[in-house]
Amino acid sequence: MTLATYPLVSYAALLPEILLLAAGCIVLLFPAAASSERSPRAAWLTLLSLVGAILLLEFGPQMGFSLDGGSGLEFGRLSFFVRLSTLIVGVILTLVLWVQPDPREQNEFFSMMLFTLTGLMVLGSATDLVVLFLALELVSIPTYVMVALSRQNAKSLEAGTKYFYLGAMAAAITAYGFALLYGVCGTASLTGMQLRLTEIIANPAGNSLAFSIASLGLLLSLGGLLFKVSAVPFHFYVADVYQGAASAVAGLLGFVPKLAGFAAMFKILAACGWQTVSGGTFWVLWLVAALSMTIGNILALRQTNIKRMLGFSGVAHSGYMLVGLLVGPHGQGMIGDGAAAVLYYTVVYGIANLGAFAVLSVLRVRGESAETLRDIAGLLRRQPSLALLLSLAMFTLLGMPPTPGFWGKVGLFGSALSTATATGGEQQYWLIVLVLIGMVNTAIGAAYYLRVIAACLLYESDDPIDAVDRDAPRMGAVICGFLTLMFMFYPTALYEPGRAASSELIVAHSATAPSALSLAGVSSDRAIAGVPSTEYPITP
Amino acid sequence: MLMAALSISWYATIPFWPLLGAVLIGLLITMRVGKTSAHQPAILGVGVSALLSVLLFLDLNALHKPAGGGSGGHAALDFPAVLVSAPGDSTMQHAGDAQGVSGANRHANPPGITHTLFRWISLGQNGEWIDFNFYFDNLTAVMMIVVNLIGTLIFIYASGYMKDHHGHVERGYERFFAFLALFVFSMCILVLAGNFVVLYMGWELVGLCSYLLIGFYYPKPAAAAAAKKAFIVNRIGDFGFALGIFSLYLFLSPHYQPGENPLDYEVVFRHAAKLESWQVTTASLLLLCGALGKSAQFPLYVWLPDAMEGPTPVSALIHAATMVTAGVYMVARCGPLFAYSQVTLDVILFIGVFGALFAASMAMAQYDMKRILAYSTMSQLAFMFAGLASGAPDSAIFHLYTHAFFKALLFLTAGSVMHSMGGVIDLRQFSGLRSVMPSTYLQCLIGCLALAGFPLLAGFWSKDEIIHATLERNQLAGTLLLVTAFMTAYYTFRMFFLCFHGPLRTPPQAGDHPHDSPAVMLAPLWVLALGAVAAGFAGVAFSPGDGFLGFLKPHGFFHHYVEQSSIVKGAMHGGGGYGLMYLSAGIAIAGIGLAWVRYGQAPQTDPDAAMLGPLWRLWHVKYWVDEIYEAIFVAPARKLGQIFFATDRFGINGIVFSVAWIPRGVGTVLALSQRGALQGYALGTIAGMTLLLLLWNWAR
Repeated sequence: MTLATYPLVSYAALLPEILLLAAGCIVLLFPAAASSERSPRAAWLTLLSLVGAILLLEFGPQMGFSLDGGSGLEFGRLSFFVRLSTLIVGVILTLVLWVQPDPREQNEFFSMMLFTLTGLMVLGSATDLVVLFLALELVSIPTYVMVALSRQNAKSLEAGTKYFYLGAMAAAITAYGFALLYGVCGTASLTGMQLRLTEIIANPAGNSLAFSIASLGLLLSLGGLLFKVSAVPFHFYVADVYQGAASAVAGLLGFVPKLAGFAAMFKILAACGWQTVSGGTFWVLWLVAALSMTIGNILALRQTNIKRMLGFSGVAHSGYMLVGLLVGPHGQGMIGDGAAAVLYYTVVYGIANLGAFAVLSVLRVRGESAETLRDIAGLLRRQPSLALLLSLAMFTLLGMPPTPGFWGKVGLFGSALSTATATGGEQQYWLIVLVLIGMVNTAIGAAYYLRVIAACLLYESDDPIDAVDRDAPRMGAVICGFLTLMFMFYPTALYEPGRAASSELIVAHSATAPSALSLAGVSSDRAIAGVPSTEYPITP
Repeated sequence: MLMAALSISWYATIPFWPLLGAVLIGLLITMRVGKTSAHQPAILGVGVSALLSVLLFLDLNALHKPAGGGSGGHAALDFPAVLVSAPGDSTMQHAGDAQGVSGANRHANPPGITHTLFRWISLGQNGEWIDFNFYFDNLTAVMMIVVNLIGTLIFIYASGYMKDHHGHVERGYERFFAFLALFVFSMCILVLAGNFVVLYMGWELVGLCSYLLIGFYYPKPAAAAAAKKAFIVNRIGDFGFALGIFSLYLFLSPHYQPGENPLDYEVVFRHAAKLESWQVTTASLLLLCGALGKSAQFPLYVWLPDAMEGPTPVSALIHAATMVTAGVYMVARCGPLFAYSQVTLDVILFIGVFGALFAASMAMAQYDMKRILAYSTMSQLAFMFAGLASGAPDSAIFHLYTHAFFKALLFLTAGSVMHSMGGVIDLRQFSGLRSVMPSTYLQCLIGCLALAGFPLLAGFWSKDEIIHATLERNQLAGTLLLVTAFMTAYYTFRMFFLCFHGPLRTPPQAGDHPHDSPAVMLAPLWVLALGAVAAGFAGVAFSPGDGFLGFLKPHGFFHHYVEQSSIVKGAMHGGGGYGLMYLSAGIAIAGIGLAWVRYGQAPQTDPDAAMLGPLWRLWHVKYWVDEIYEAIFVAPARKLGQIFFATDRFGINGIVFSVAWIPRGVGTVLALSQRGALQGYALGTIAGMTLLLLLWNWAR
């Protein structure tokens, strides 16, 4: 397939992204004096453009915008899920970050945020390795800047620098992996790659070199992407970066890179037909998942600084989500298959995490932002609503029934278990072991989440804790709480789009899909039929 | 199904108005508007619901109005068909022959409609859901009227009751009204539920609210204990109830068509006929456990007498409108299921008849006014269960509806007495209040007459029908119910005379000038009194030409109305039974007369205690049931709890604490890797990546 055969991209479908990009540029060009603490114009414009993008995304198709794909882009249901959740979380982020940056740097800050969100949206629609890589970088680079800009001290600069160097290294690894994949397939299009890879995998003996290179490319691509989701052993940066960045930016880091990483991994794994989820890749992902959960939780357990703790807990959550990734679009858990559960969990985790950071971002002790357990002691007395929001976020992260965090874990582990029982073979036991590890880790995690809840609800402190008297960040925290409650009582609102999105990940297998690849065999009834993704029946 | 006045979505909002009221109270308090106005949102919310309930009732009535005349002109044989959703009818023979059922009409009208609010819980990818849905039929409408109308009246009364004589509100006034509104909300969810899961949700919510309200005076140890007792006893029943729902799901799973929501009433009732008899019996008996707990039937009744530790309006609400009616409602609603199990019906009949007699006997020997009323509630509910088991669920619901009026009235007048006696409710401490509380006296008289089954008052009609149905089913059971009816009349008026007749005596707590309640408390009572007098006529068929008094036939409009619902009606024919009617009228009057002879002057020493001796004492101590339960269940459970506690404290805690050191120790080691040096991080990342590659190479 050559570039010439690509259809032109439909700009109408890209309108939300274009709007965000334009807004980002305009914000950047604002005179520096225009935004002030009193009236943060940059934030207003950001908010407006995000809301406008949501409207365009929702009603665009009705207004006749074509949603066909173009060169390297396709606007399906996975793309819709990623774009809509990005925009909604973006709105919350804007509110939470309203007064965070220094007035002189607001323009840069908000334009960077708009760029990173644009990158995430493009990533959701990418069907081409080049577009995917560009989108990944568009997500990453602005976040480095944001971390550095978020506070006026050396710590945030240090955090931004570290994040940048390590991120660049990870990007290099990904790029290497992509290059190998491209080299072995001869095309950058994910669909084209899939055709070629199926061929190779169907006959490993005849293509042993190609097979090795393809597997290596896949593994290296995943390696770089695992950095984005901060899985072990790419987790070293989290604590320093989370601590150095302002709370609100740390909240952003819990959602944007994670969704980017998982969506990209989905796309890559789908291009490989999910078949490499057996053999070497299975064990690699298995080990990464187990280590992420365990090491993340154990490190979090030691922290008294809540931001560091949440950073490490993010590592653990990536581990839980990797269980779903390992299962892929197979298994019939409560939410649906593994991929649907991952999508669900990403959003729920992102919102709960952001809610916790939003609360932290408005709290002040002696003029300093509150960071440690000691700082937030007695919060209930002084700021009851914030204390309750923080507790709700913590319960969700903990996975306490019936919070959406619980439903998410049920979905992740359930899909793994149902796959395990359906597969048979050696891996069956190892999947069950992995779920057991996950459960033990949930228990360990409960310890440190409950410590936060206990500190703010039960204990008293001599240092009076205070809250910044600004409505926007509080509003952001309240929206997070509201969404959490909504997904608690009405989880379907998020299940359904996630399920629809994951159905696209089963790329049409050819009927020659090798049966030796056990995990892929699970979904054979759905996949081997050669039904393209959109035919997958969704419950009404 | 068409709705005439309002769309169904409006009726689906019924539960949420009280909820809104409760939330508003919370918000108002946060905004420091003032606690004294906390009753307004609650009354308003329930009032709107009551209005909507009445509209729903009228709407459904217009819909089901049989062609060719109003409700009155039906002869006994052509009343509209029983609407059964279950197709099979061979097993319905237990309830008598099927001649009252005209087969042609059987599927003419759907018994109700399921209105889905939103899709709720997905049960997998086969399109099976447990939706959040409501089920509307005539039974729903009747229950909604009872819950919301009586609820509104009780709320209005409570707004006066919860203030002292100087108009100062009690502590926790706003909490009280928020809980009350929540209680009504829960009951509405319970009644409107369209499947067993939503039903269970309402069921548990009701349990929770009763706990909160019975324990309203939580600093008082007795109140806290009573709240716990109510909750725990109900939990025991609910455990069975939950198992019942599980078993339904399990047993019915082979029968579902794809796309059917497995626990919707409609679906369950449609497939109930396909179950084997042991399955129906198991499921229905388990469901019955829940009903026994909520409706305070033997052996799970023990919480009800203690529940009067809550403020009196709560008792009225529990006894009349919410909570205890839930069990009766559930069994009536699940008629299409219960009808397939003869064993379950026999069990219900036994529990009903035995419970009625058992509770009435305990009520004969109490001095606490509210306790007497509590036992009478248990006894009357047992009547309803007997009616349910005898193929007369319409009569049972009719009794539920009339009972709601006069029992609320009685509880609230008892509250008025208590209010003016300074919190004293022991009948030995006061008498002769007739002269100081004339309005209360009159209201209480009406309530007592209705409860005693005095001719033409509300209780007379409904109780008579149940006795009639039970006599047709089983001679002995019916006779025992007649005896109970006599005892009811007797103990009710024993209470009444002890309170209002005889010389005027008041306890010191009452102050020097006891008086009637303020208007805000009296007004709702008059409405209830009107109901206690007239509500029974809703179930009477007027057909002129049958001679003096004969024109009052049982089985009227109300029954025709309720029959248009999911309940399963047996072959109890409305007509006939005049002999029984005269007999039960005579029994009621005889009971009242005997009470007048023995207690008319409110003697200081109890004549019954002297005459009946040990039997009376056995009744007075309530058959030592509480003590027996304490010895058999509570004490061993407590012992077990202590053992568990010790195990937990010393065994498990020790292990957990030692285990907890492992992650901490590992964490300390791992923390060495987090020292902030960028080179170290980069090295770790690359080393990790290399290790993964090696693993991949090894494993592929």
